[in-house]
Amino acid sequence: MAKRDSSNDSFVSRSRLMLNAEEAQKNDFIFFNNAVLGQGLALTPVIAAATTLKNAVILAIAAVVLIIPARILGDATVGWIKTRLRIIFYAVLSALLLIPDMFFLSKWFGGSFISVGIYVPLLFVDGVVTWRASVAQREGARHVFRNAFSTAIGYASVICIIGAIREILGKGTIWGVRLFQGPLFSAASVIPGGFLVTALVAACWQSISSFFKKIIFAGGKTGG
Amino acid sequence: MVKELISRFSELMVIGLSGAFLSNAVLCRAMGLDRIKNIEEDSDEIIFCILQFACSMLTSLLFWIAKKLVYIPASLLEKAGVSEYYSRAFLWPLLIAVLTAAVFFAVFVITVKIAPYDKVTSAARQLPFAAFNTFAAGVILIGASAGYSFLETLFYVAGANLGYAVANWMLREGNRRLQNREIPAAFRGLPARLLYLSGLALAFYSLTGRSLSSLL
Repeated sequence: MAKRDSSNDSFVSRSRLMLNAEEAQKNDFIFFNNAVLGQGLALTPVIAAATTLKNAVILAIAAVVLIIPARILGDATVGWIKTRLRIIFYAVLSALLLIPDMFFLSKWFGGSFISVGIYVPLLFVDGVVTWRASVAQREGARHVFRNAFSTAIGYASVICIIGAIREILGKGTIWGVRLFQGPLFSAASVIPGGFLVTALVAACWQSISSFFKKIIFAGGKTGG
Repeated sequence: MVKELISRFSELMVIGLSGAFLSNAVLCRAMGLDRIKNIEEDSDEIIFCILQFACSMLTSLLFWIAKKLVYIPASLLEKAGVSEYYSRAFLWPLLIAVLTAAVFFAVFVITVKIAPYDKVTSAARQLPFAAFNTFAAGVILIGASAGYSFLETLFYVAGANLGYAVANWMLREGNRRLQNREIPAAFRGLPARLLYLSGLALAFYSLTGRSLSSLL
C-alpha cells in the first residue's frame, strides 16, 4: 500500500513538472517562441539591413524602445479600442516613439545610422511591434511587461547573431575589426545571402528547439 | 510634342517596371514578409493585394503632398544639432501612420459599399494588415527618399504592387511544393521558405546586371 502511494506521489510530481515545463515553454518568447525564428516576424530588418553587427545593434535598440511601451500601452487599450482598429493605435504610437529613438540613434551612431536606411523608420509597422494588435484578450500589466521584454530580447539576440555572421562571412570583419584578409562569402552582405543565412540560422534553431522539446516531453512520458 | 510625351511615358514605365522587377520590394528589399508563415492558410490573397494596392497608392499620393507642407524652423534644428534632411525623415513615419489611418477609414467605407456581400467580412478582416505593413509603408518611404514627382510616385507604387503580387504568387506556388515529407525536419516550414526566397531573390538580383562571380 505504501509502495503504491509513493509511486502515485512520484507520478503526480512528475506530471506537475511536465506541466510547468509546458507552461514555461509556452511563455518563453526568447527561445521557443522567438519572434523572428519561431513566428517569422521582423524578417524585413533582419534580412535587408542586418548586414553588420553594428547595423544589427542599431536595429535592436530601435526595436526594443518600440516593442516594450507599444505592447504595454496596447494591452491597456483592450476593451477601449475595437480589435480591428488597434493596429492604428500601435502604428501611431510607435511612429511617435520613433522620433526620439531615431534622433538619439543618429547622434550616437552617425554614419552607421545612415547605412541602415529606411529600415529603422519602417519598424513602426513591423510585425514584431504590431502583432499583438489583433489579440482581443488582456494580458495584465506584469505579464505583458515580461512578455514584451522577452520578445524584445529574443528579437535583439537573433538580429545580432545574424548581423555578426553576415559581417564575418560578407566582409571578413566583426564590428569593423578585420578577422580575415577578404570576405569568405560576399553574398552574405546582400539580400539573397540574408535570406540564406537567416534560413540556416532558423534551421539550427528548429533542430535545437525540437531536441529540447523531446527531452522535456520524453522525460515526462518515461517518468509516468 | 508627341515625341516628348512618348519619352516621358517611357520614363514613367521604366520607373514602374523597375519597381516591379529590378527592385522588387519583396525579393530585393525583403519587405512585406510578415505573412510568410501563414500565407497558404489565407485563400483571399487577391482581396489582400487589392486592398494593399488601394491603401499604399492613396497614402503615397497624400504623403507626396503632405511632406511638402512639413516645416521645421531652422533655429530649432540648429539648437538640436540635426540636419534638415534628418529632421524631416524623423517625422515621416508619424506622417505616414496618420495618413494611412485616414486612408484606412476611407477604404473601409468604400469596400463596405462596393464589395460583394460575401467578400465584405474577409475584406474587413484583412484591411488592417493590408494598410499597416512593411511593404505598404516601405514603398512610400522609398518613393519619398528617391524624390519622385507626383506622376513618378504613382507609377512606382503601381509597379511595386505588381511586383508584390508576382512575388506573392511565386511564394504561394513554392509553399505548395515545399510541403514535402522528404525535406529534413530542421528545414521544414520557415527555413525551407526562406531558402526558396533566397533562390528567387538571387534570380531577381541578376536582373540588376550583377554576375554570380561578384557574389562568391
